[in-house]
Amino acid sequence: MNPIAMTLLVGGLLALFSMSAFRRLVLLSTGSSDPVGRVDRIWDRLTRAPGQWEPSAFGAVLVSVMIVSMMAAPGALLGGLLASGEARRSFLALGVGLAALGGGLGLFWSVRAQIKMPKYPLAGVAHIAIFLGFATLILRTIILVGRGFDEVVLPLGARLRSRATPHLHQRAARTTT
Amino acid sequence: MVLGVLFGVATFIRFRVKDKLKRLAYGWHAWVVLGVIATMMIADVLYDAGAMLSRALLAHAADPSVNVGEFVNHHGFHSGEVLGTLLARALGVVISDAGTARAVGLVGFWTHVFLVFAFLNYLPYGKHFHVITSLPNVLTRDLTPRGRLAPMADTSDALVEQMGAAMELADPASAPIGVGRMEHFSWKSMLDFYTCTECGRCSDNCPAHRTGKLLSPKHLTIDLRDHLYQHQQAAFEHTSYGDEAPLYPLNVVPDIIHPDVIWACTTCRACEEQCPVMISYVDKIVDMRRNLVMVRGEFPMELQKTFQALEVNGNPWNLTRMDRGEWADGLDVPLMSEKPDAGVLYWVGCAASYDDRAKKIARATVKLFKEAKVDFAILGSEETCTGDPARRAGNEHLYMMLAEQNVATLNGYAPKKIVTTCPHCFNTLLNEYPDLGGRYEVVHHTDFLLGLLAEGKLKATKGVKAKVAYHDSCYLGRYNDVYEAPRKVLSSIPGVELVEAEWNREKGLCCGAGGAQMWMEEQHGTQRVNNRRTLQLVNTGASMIASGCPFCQTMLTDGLKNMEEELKSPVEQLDVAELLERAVVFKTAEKAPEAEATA
Repeated sequence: MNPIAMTLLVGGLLALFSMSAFRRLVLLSTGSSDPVGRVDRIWDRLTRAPGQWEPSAFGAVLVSVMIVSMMAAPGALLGGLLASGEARRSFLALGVGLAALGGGLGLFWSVRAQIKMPKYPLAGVAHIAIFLGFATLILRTIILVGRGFDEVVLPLGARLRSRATPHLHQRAARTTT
Repeated sequence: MVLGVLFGVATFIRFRVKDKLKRLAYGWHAWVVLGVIATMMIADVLYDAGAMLSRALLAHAADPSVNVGEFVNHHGFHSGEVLGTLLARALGVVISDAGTARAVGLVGFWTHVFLVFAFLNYLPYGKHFHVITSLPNVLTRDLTPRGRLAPMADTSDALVEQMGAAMELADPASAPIGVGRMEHFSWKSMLDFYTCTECGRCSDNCPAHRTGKLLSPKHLTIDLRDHLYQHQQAAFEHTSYGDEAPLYPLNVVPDIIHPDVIWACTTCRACEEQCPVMISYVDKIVDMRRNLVMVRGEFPMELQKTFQALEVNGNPWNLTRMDRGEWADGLDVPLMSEKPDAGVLYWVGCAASYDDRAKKIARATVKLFKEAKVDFAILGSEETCTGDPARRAGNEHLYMMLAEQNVATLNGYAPKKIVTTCPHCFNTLLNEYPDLGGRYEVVHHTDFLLGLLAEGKLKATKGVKAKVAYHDSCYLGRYNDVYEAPRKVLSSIPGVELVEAEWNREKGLCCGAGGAQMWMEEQHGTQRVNNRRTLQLVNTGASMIASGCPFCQTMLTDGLKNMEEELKSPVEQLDVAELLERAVVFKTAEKAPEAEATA
């Protein structure tokens, strides 16, 4: 694809978004402090679905994997940027894969948080369908953005080209020459 | 997955075109978002198709024996890209050049990537901001008990000092006593405003809104959010928050929110129960009431009498404190002062102490206690209102005075267990007194009676032939999750057929008494809340309505009286304890005369 175009597009639109988000954040800061603890019991907040008061082993595993993936992804991506050749591709693919996994689990966490959705059956199911679509969309977008830089980027080191594709490309190239 | 999303989009388009829902607002924003979501999905499919077809055409160019269609099928279906494969096959009919196919794929690729990030930029400007804010909003939800309101100060004296300081300001309304101005809302409240999805489920379930009152929780949130957004530029440029140039010069009530909106709330929490993104409403409404009551002295005038009665006599009926224990005349009920080590402190509450109809609940409960040989005592004239009506009406100072008095009395006796008749007392004692140093084991009488039945200390052996609809009290059910105990007590009675109203348990409609509404004139709407709820219960075909709250009982009894002429057959209203009393064959000498008379 076109790394420069992708950098400009993603960088530019993310910068615009950051500005809008920052202004909303500034507005939020005009509020007073909250009388209730809002950032205490972090582990409980992360691992329990809303309305769930008992500890959840499933929630704990989900959040643990999510956090590890998200924390490891930037390191792998940085390694990819610093390395070259095949190592670069592997690191980039691993980084993108981990980011996708963390993001995907994060979105799954938020699907789990939508515990009240089924109260309105049709709208609830439709919303969850859209939400799951968004989960896939986020993964897909990360992959596509990665492909903007390097066409072979797929999660966890997989390759876009099938086993047959490289020699087909070579044969096509030979035929055209 | 693409199909799933397109199904979702189609469903919401249907809600906007054909089956319009009253609770939704229909603007162009939703169309833009649905359009963007659908286009993103189609672009994604186009990218897959283009890429797949170009690979197939390349393969065919390299080896003419390769069949384009078979290549597409093989690689497309294997990778699970069903729609992309089908589109690639369709495009293969008109495109025979790999470069053109790749160009088609690129259009899909860049459209998809552009729309994702464009959509991200659009989010902060509409209701779809919740896509971003709902996660942090859910994450920072209040983990303290649902029924608890945060105290304004540690003690009533500290609160008096705060109020004194406010009165010395040139503009007392600018003091952060409750919520008078936008800046008094906490950052979390503001995050709530950002997060509103405008789905309208809150208003759809609000008893005030459903009966035509001015209050709509959804519009309350939207109005506050819109006002907040209007000040975004000013907030961005604002460097000083001094009195000279306040960022938010308007009073929340009445400049942004009409006072009737604030005073129509029954604090039933139906809105909060329904909200999919965990927005809280009751605390905001009570905070606005606090400012109106304690700083500006602007509240419905009927409340003045209630506040005075609570202050002078410790009960909203304004009856003398000394008569608090009169309901127990002839029942030989011990007082805590006589029996300080009693195993159970029976907290009677104001309604069951002073209201003639509700006294029967207390008498029935005591008779059942005696039959089960429960070691209990009451406080008598030492008991005073828990302060719930004052607190929900915004008079935090009065609440704190009453609560401090009760906590001092209770801590003096250190009761092992407190059993309450009134769910409002139950909630306050259990969830709010801990903030003032009063930590007790508190049980609602329906729960306690169920325990006595389970232990075999009470036996419901006498048949009571009735079709019973149970009404969930908000402060028992939605506030404290006590849904099953009263139903199990009723089910244990031979002859009782339990039926459910269409709205029950966490969706149960409020009776209209909560949030100090009991002590105010109900605002004009299309219907009275208690009439609507009574109708829902009567529509079950029940011959009897059971409840676990003396205030609900008053409201439902009034509801039944209001529809007396429309009822085909008389419907009786009883507390769970009264119904159980009818089913128990008393071995003790103090068999209830009322029970005999009504049986």
